[in-house]
Amino acid sequence: MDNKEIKIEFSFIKENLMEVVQPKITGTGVVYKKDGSISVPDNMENKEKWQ
Amino acid sequence: MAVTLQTSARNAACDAIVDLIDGGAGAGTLEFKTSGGTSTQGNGEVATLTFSDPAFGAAAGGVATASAITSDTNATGGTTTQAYIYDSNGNPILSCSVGVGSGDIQLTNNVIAATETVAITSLTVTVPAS
Repeated sequence: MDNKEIKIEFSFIKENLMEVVQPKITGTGVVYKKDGSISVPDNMENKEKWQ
Repeated sequence: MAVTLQTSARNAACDAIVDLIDGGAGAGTLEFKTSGGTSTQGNGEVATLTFSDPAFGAAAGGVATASAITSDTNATGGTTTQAYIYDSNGNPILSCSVGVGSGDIQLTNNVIAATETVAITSLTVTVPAS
């Protein structure tokens, strides 16, 4: 049996992840139909609450 | 140690961001777009609203609140899932998600028919402390 040298190298890369502060956008809006009623998805529960 | 911004830094950062919207001679715009819309102004446009000039008041507590936004009373129409904010030269400044009950901007309906009116009732930009 041949003697084979098995060389195993482990390399660990440690990334210094820069922590980033992310801005946020927060908004609300209303879509109105031509008749002035509020447009909501057809499958929305409590549709009457919006209209 | 996590990056933490003090209030003065948050306000400065927030003001710097929203002031970019006032770039150019006119008012900035908020454009609701389809999912396939790109950052190019007008691409995938569903509805376009116009900011006041300046668009936002001075930030306080890291939060800037938009001044009155003029509604789009004659929307192009489509299903919107994203929005871009541009200055008056058409440069994109911010982008965000749009949804119903979810997303950065929440509408009563993200399926907008042509000629419908789209109004923004509130809009803020926040730079958090961390």
